[in-house]
Amino acid sequence: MTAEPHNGALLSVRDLQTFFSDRQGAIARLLRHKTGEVRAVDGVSFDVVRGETLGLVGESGSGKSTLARTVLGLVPATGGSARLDGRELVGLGRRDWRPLRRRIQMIFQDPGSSLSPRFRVSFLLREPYVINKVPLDQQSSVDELLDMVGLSSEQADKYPHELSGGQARRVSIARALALHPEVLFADEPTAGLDVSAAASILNLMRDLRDRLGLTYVLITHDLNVVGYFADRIAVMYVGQLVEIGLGDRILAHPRHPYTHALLSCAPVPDPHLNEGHLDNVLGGEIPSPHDPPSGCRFHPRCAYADPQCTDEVPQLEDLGEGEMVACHHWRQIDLTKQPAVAET
Amino acid sequence: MTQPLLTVDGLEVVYHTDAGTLPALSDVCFEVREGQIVGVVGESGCGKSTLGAALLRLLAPNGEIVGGHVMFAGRDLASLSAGELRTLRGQGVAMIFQDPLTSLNPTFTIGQQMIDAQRAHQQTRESKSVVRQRTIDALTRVGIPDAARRIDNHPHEFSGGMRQRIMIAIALLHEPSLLIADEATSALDVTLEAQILKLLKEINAVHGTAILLISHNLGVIAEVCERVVVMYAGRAVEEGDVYSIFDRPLHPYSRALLAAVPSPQHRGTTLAAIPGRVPSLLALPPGCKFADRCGYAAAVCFTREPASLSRGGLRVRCFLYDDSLPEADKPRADWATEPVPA
Repeated sequence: MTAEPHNGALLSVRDLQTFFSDRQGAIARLLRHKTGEVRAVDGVSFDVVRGETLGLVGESGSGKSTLARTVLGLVPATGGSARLDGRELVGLGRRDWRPLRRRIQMIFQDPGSSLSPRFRVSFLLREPYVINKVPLDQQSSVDELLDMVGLSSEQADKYPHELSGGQARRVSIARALALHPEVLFADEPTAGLDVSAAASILNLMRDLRDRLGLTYVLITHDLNVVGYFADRIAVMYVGQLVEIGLGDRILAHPRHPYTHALLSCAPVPDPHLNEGHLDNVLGGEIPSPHDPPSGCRFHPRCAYADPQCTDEVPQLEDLGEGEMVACHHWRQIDLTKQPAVAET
Repeated sequence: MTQPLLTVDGLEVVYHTDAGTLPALSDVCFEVREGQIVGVVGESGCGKSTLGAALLRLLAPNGEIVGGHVMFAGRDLASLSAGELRTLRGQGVAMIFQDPLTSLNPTFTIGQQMIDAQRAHQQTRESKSVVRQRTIDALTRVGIPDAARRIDNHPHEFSGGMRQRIMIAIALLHEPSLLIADEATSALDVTLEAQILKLLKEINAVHGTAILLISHNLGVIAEVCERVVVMYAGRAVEEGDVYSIFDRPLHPYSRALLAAVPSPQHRGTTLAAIPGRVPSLLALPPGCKFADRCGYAAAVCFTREPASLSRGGLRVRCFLYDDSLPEADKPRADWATEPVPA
C-alpha cells in the first residue's frame, strides 16, 4: 500500500498482516489434508486521529477482530507496522508492551467469556493494575471506576453471573478504562444486547469519549450502530480494507460495490424505506480466508467484475483526506443506477 | 386471503419453577390471516419465544397453557390428540429456530434427516426415489446449489446461511399453511440475513404460506411484516399494521423502543434509552407492567392493569386511550391526543 503515514495520526497501521499457518499433526498429514495459511488480515492500512471514532465494519470472517487483536499485540503480526504515537507496536516483547499497554486497551466482545466467573467485580476492576504493576497513586478506586460507567458501588461485590448483559458490558468497559487509555478498541460492544440496553451502552461510550477525550476503534457488524457512532468508517472484506472514509460520505455515496451491497442489505426500522429493499440482495457468501479468490476478493459476487478484477489485485487508492478505496472500476461504475449484485 | 388462519385469544402460559410460578404470557390476543406475514417483536424475556412454542404445544416440560385458546384453521389446539397434533405440526404449522446446528443431527446426512421428517408425518409409505426426489426439489427451492449431490452431506459441511436454508426446506416439506420463524436470521450476517428474509418473502408470495416472524430486530420486522405485535412482560401491548406501528406507535413502550434504535440520523445526539429494566416475571408490578419506565404514567397506571382496547384497526393496552376513565385520572401525552386515521 502506498499510503503515507498521516501527520498527527495517533494510531497508524501500515500493511498489517496476520497469517495463521494451519500446520497439522502427523495423522492429518498422513491423510493428506490440505495445509496452508489463513490470511486473516492481509495488508491493512489506516490511520486514526486523536479524538475520532473509526468504525470498522465487515461480516463474520472478514478479520475485524483479528485486526484489533493484532494491533494490541494479542496475536503476533506476520508483517507490516502499527504505530501508536510514533512507537512501533509490531514485534514488541512483553516487557516493552507494558508502558504502551496502558495507552491502548480493548473492550472484549463477550463479557461472558472475558470476565472470569470466579472473581468479584471489585477484583476484576483491580486486576489491570496488578498485571501492569501500576503504582497505587495512579490507580482509580473501584468506586470511581464503577461510577464512571454508571454502576452503583454495590455491584463491586457481585460475581459476573449476577450481572445483567448491560451491566457486564459496563464492567468490561470499566476494566478497559482502569489504565486511563488514549485508544480504546471496542469489539461489538452492543452485540447480544436488547435495543434499550444497547442504546445506553452507546450513550455511555459517547459520554466517555467527550469527558476523557478517548479515541475509539469501534468494531461492529451493525451498520446502524456504526452510522450513529463513527466519524469515519472502514469496510473490511476477507482480510482486506475495501473502502475507508467519512461516515456520512460512505453511508450516502459508497464507492466500493461491496460497501454498497452491505448498506443496501441492512434492515432499516422504517417500512417506507424497505419497498423493494430485498430486490437486490447480495448473493453468495463471504469466501474463506484460507483460499481467497484471485484478484479482487469480491469479484465472484460483484456485478461489475470483469477479467481485470479476476487477475489483478486492486490497490487501496489514496484519494486524500483519509479517503481510500480498493476497486479497479470505482470511477466508472454508478452504484446509484444498477443493482450491485451478481448472480446467487 | 383474509380468512383468519390462526387465532390466539387470551392465551396464558406459566412456567413452574423452584422460585415460583412465572406468568410468561398473559392475555395475549392476535390473529394471523391466510398468506399474511405477522411480526412479533420485543426485548429478551418478553415472551416472544414462549408464544411461538405455545402455539405448537412445544413448551418446555415446566411450561403450561393455563388459559385462552389457540385456534388453527377453525380447530382448537387444546382439543387435539397427540396423533392429530403430530399431523398438524409439519403439515399445518412448521417452525424454524434460531440455531440450525442444534436442530440438525450432526451424525446424519441432511438427506436422511429430511427423509425421516417426511416419513414421520406420512400415513402411506412412498417409494424411496419419490421421497428422495421431493427432498432434492425442496433443497433446490430454498437455493441450495447442486442439491442432488449435497443431499448426502452432513450438517457441518454447510455454512451457517445454507444450514438455515436447509431448516426452511425441512419446514416447507409438507407445505404448511403457517411457518413460525423464531429469530431465524438473528445469528446471520447482514447479507445472509437479507438472503433468508428474501427467501421467506418469496415463499410467502409463491406458496401463500403465512409467516409468524419472531424477532428482536425492528429492522427485520419493518422489512418483511404486514402486521406487528409488540410484546412487553408477557403482554401484547400493541398490535397493528406495520405502517401504523412504525409511523405512529400508540403505546409508550413501542414509541420508546423505536426511539432507542441508533441510526445515522441520530449522530451527535444522546439516544433515548428506556430508563429502568424489564420487571422480573416473579415480581410483576400490579398495574401496567411498563408504568415505572413510562414517561406518561398516571396514578391509575400503577394500580390497575389496562385492558386491550381497539382503536382504528389497532389494539393497544394503555390507559392513554381508555375513554372510560374520568378525564382527571387519565394519563396524558400530547402525541396521543390526535385521533387515529381510519
